[in-house]
Amino acid sequence: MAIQKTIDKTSNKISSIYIKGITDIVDNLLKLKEGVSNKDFATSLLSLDMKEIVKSKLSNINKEYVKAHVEVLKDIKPQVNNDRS
Amino acid sequence: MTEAEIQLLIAMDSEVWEAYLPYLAAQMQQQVASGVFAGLTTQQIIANIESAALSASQVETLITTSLNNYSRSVTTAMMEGEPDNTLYQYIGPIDGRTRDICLQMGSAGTITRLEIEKAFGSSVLIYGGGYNCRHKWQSVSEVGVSKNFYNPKKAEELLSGNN
Repeated sequence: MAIQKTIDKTSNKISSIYIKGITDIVDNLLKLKEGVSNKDFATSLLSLDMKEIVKSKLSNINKEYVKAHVEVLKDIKPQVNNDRS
Repeated sequence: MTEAEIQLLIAMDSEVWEAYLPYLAAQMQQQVASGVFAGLTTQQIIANIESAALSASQVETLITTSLNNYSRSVTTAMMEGEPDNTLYQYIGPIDGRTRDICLQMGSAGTITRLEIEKAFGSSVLIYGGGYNCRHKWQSVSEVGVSKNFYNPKKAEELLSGNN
């Protein structure tokens, strides 16, 4: 099925965004270690809003995910009856 | 099935993904700190994050599975409005990755929803054969359009090892 190719492509793209996002964040965090003690580094890590950093860095995943849902829906749309409640 | 119901299903899938991110963030924070203390390389720290949270391949499986579950959920919801005697058949690729349970359902021929549930349980309507499953039960009229993807004879052959 053509939609299966779309699903596979999306999953692959999302996993690439995921690992690239993690790598970028780790690389940037490790820059904070330059010239500071382990204690100061850990303190600076704790002061960061990691949830927001991760959410922002991986925001494209949600966009791709929703876009793929719409594609899946288009594939079965002829059967969907919007008038039925 | 209404547009609002369809949108709700999409929103719920997004919600599940969003709910995972705070856990990932906490794991990253912890693994980076302990990795630095232990003198690990960047790659080792990333490997530990993938081990403690989801790996890239696990994310791939998660997304594939949830998109297919979404497709099956919409199709199943539409079954609710169809007559009891509507016939369905199990469609999707038949290849070396196809599980035995999917081959069994694929070789069941055209049956009603009640017969599907009696033979295989009701969960197969939404979850198919499990994670990464690429198949679903669909009404015969729809399968008629895509019959190239439905081959019960081939499924039986694979099940009996005569492929």
